Amino acid sequence: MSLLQVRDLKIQYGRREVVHGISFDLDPGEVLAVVGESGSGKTTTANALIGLHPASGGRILLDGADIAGYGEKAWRSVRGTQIGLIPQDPITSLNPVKTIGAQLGEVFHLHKRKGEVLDLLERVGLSDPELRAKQYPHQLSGGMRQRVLIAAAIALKPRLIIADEPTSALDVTVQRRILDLIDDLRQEYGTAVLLVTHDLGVAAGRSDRLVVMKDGRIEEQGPTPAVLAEPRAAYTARLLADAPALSGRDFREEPAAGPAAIVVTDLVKEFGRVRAVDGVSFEVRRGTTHALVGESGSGKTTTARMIVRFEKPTGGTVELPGAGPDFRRHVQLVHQNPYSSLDPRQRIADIVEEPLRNFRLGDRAARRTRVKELVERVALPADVLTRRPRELSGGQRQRVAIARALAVGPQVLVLDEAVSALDVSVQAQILDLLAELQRDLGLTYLFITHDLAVVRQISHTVSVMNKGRIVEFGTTSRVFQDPQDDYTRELLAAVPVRAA
Amino acid sequence: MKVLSWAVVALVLLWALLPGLFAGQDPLNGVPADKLQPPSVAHWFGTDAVGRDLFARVVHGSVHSLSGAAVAVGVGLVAGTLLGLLAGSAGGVLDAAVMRFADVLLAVPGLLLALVVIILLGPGTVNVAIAVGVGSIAAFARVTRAEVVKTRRSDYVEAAFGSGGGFASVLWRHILPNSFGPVIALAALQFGVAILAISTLGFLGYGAEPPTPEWGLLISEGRNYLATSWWLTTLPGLVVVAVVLAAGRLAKEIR
Repeated sequence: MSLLQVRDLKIQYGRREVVHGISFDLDPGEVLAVVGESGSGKTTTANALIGLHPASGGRILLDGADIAGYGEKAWRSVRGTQIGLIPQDPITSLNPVKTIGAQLGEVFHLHKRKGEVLDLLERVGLSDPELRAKQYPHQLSGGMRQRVLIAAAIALKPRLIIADEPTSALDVTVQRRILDLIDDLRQEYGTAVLLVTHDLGVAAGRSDRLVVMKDGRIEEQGPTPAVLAEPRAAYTARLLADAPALSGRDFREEPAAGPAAIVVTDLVKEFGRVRAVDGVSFEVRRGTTHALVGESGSGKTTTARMIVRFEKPTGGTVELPGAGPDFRRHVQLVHQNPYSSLDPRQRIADIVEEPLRNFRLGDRAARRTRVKELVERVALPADVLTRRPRELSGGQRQRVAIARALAVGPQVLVLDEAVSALDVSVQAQILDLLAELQRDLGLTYLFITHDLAVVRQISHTVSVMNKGRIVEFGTTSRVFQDPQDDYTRELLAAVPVRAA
Repeated sequence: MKVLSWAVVALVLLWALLPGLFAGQDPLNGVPADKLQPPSVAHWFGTDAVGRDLFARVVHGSVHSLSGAAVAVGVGLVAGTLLGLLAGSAGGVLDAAVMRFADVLLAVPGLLLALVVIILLGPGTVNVAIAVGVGSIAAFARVTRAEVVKTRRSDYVEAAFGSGGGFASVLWRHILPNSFGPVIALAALQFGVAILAISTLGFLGYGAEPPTPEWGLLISEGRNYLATSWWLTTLPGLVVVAVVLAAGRLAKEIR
């Protein structure tokens, strides 16, 4: 018999229904992945299953008992003991003023059960548990914090664990270790896992069954290999096609030798006594895309910021052959987060026009015409011009940011994780747009990213960064097919791969 | 509550603009025979010691209190915002100097500071308003600086510099508009506070000269008859309380 049966579950925010009657089952010891893009209702569903958001209709049967109608007090006897939760963001989910030991001890205390905090810390693979128990969250890395949260979730040996994007905020190598840990615990205790994720690679590699959600409805569900091999819903097929993969498409080959657009030599940046960038050198040819790959803290963003002159290098040089006295007409930066890089008070037309005004290019009418061209160029409808950023989706905003960057006709674009905040299908569209712009305008891209699948799709050459140094440099096909450095190999192996 | 607050503020503004419409009786010349009458249908707020209708005096007095408060908020808003903008965007030594000066201003009780300024400028309605405004400069400077510092670190400000913007144009186009919301809310709150402060100074005798019907002065004049004629202090007092609360409520709304 199923451990959890969800029947016709409906959830509302205020009067607006966001989940429209979904049904699925979960057996003991099974991993069910719920995948979907942002706004599909997957996190809302997970919250309803643990009573953090009330269901407005339908039933949630845990061992045959309907927990959907439970009051707050009854829920407290379910949470932790029957259903555990691993939250999304390990950075904000721990209390910053309490030690790890005290926070885990609270789990036992609240449920009046005995248990050993130190055993628990050891079980989730934290080295030196006695020291960790005395430390505060800020003294731990992201991966270690996620382990602490997993420890809290498994403390009372619940029969179901809900993991809401448990690794989205973590680097790939850390992600793999965390997912391995969840897998081990499942096998050891026979716990069922409901894994909420936007990453099809993670879902494919770790789940027995798959639920695909879109706009609060289930598009498709079934055994994971079957759904991936033969998707029945058109939406699933599109999701699979859009997900950047480590296999499939051909590599982009480096074009014949041309003049250099960016030359970085022995670049060094120190923050106090910390050496964030430690002697980085590379060269990018005009009209090609170079990817700077690395995990958080590798120094890739600092390198990019020095190239666009938002940081001063401690040592070394950056040369941009072809840059005139107006540096910012030659090089433009596209920020990671399109939600914060556009002034919320300006209209789109003003945002795109701003660089033209700054450089006093053309009169008012000429600028207006140019703005219209730019908006068309990035495939946005003309009616966005009078709107404000909050009325646009994430993908549309990133197109606006690209249009602004292109306004003064730069030769070099530095894109700092420019597609990381976007859903896969939107990500695919933006990457296609960038490739098209490069072909038409002969742009040079420096692409900063942690996502190897994106690198494979867009770049001609790659530098892999680790701890402030470049550990490997080469054409994309060479680095992916024949990695020379151990770190590159580890990075490639850690990427969750979808069985083709 | 929100509707009521708007209604109170709107009514008082109308009093200030068109006092004749609301109170037909003369606020300055009374009928001695009708002195010290309690509230009635003929005299809603009663009459004072020389037979003047108190309601008419409150209505005609609103223009003095409100314009005083407007001047006070204006002084605080302009000077405080400029100082805060300067401190927040320049940073470094200038920031430290301006903000420590603001700390000193904040350390002195507002009323005391206002009294010091009045003694320097001399009494009078306008001077009282300026004095109260000077007292609120520090508060405006602090809020503005905090907002400016926050806005300065945002991606869109960096993007604006990245697209070739100069310091002044970025300040004007992005930092100022995006920092202004909380400052406007503070201005609404300070409006209520200023009415109270101006009334307090009027009560102490530094503001308008009798027989001008300024609210603080009305309350002060009624003090001598507190034992026999409660309405002379209580009713104008309640009007002040209502306006101050309404302004505070609206400030919360704006924020």
